[in-house]
Amino acid sequence: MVTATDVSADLDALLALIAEEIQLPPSLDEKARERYEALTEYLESTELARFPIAVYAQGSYRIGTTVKPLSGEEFDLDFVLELALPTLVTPGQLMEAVWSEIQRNGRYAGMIERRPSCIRLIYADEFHMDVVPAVPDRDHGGTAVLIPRDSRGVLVWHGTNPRGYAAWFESKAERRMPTKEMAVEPLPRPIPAAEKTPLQTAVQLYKRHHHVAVADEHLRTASVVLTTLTAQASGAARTLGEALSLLVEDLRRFEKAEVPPVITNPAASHEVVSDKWADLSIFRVFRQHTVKLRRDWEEVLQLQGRDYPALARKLSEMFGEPPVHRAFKAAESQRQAARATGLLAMGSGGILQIGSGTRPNPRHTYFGGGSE
Amino acid sequence: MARNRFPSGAPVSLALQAARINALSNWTGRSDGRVLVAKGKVQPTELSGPYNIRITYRLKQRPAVILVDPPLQQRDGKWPDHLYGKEELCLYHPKYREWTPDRVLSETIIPWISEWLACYETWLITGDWLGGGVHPRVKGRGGQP
Repeated sequence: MVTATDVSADLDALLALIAEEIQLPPSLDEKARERYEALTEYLESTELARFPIAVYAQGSYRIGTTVKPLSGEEFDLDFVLELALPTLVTPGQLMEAVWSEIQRNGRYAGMIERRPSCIRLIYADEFHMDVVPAVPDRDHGGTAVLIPRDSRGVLVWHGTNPRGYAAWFESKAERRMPTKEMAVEPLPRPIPAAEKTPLQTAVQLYKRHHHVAVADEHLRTASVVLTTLTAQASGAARTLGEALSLLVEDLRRFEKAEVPPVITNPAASHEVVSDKWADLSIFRVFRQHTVKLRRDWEEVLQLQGRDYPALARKLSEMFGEPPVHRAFKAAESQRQAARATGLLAMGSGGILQIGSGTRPNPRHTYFGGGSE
Repeated sequence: MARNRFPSGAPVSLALQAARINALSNWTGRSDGRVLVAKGKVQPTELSGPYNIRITYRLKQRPAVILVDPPLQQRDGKWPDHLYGKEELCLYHPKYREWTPDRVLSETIIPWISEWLACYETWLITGDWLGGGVHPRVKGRGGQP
């Protein structure tokens, strides 16, 4: 049995540093923001704006849980273009209307791609923005929408609620971001890892662990499922370690499941988000991953306070070596910065503490000639 | 050089050095009047494992600090940079008078061991030594204190 008290504060801090290394970096976030604003401005100047129009971020970008793709993949940032159309349109007509307006603008020539149920704007080697056209879902009301979805070559309406989902997630994380109704919304500012809630960071680490463990994209469970399960299990956690321990404990219920359970959107109970599990091979991979995550987490807890380099190797295997090495360097850089400003002290047992020592370590300079 | 090696303040006796070391948890120091041998268990960070350390100190000489267990490790066939010879940790720059015999080992050398170990572990993991430091321009052997 894993309990939250097993997680040391240093491990918590280190895991948060890893999460910081795998999220959308501030430079790309800035570019995404500019491009989102330019696209929004353009769409508002087109025929589409004859109807009330709302452009907003959805998914991980909206709720602060972006995860850097593994090599060869780009960041996937998702947006909704919601048009309050007065009359019924078909999903095909909606796609066509939005596609033709975006295509008309020379700025997007050569970088747009019509996907089955979205329009993709590709910014080479950086990220792509998927714009999903939507109309209000008047049957379900509130922030519910209908979006086109490909069903065996035919576009059909699919009911969802991206803003409702974000509000649900934020309420679980006890952090609310301002939202506006039917207007172009400012994007949420990127949140530094230190200010993220344990839940947001736990989602990032869970997703990353899943990506690393399941190399074949097609066998991965959808991010929204991983995010929903984490929020349901760990919303109340006060620390990252506690969030991960609660998640791992909760996921045990899947280890022996023969039949895939149905996971619905907590903000739109009519939307099944676990539909990919209809393919049993995807569910089996998810189940295996659940066991691997638990074993890995138990091993991490056992290694803390026993072997720092072995802990680094384990975490590298779980989350990828480059971000983990950068996180270990960041942890050491924090100690060095504290040392330079007289805030590093030795506590009981020799453990270095930042800021909390009664007596800072005296200054010194490493000297020596290295290997002979 | 010679002037820098000898402090202006009176050296702290081996007996007093040992007493101060014995006041720390996880450390014991014994002096036979000529040489002080201190043994300690140091965990540099909450996540690190413990290291058994030995300090050997003769009055007014450089305190020799070595890792007993686990022993020093190489990374990609190289030893860490900040060593005297093959096993002694380089903790301070003698020219800067950061440690002199009038200073208490338990308040200088011993906390510096934790810092050195944290740097060393990060170096073992990543290959980068982030603690800064100075390499002597001495050919052949490592630094002379």
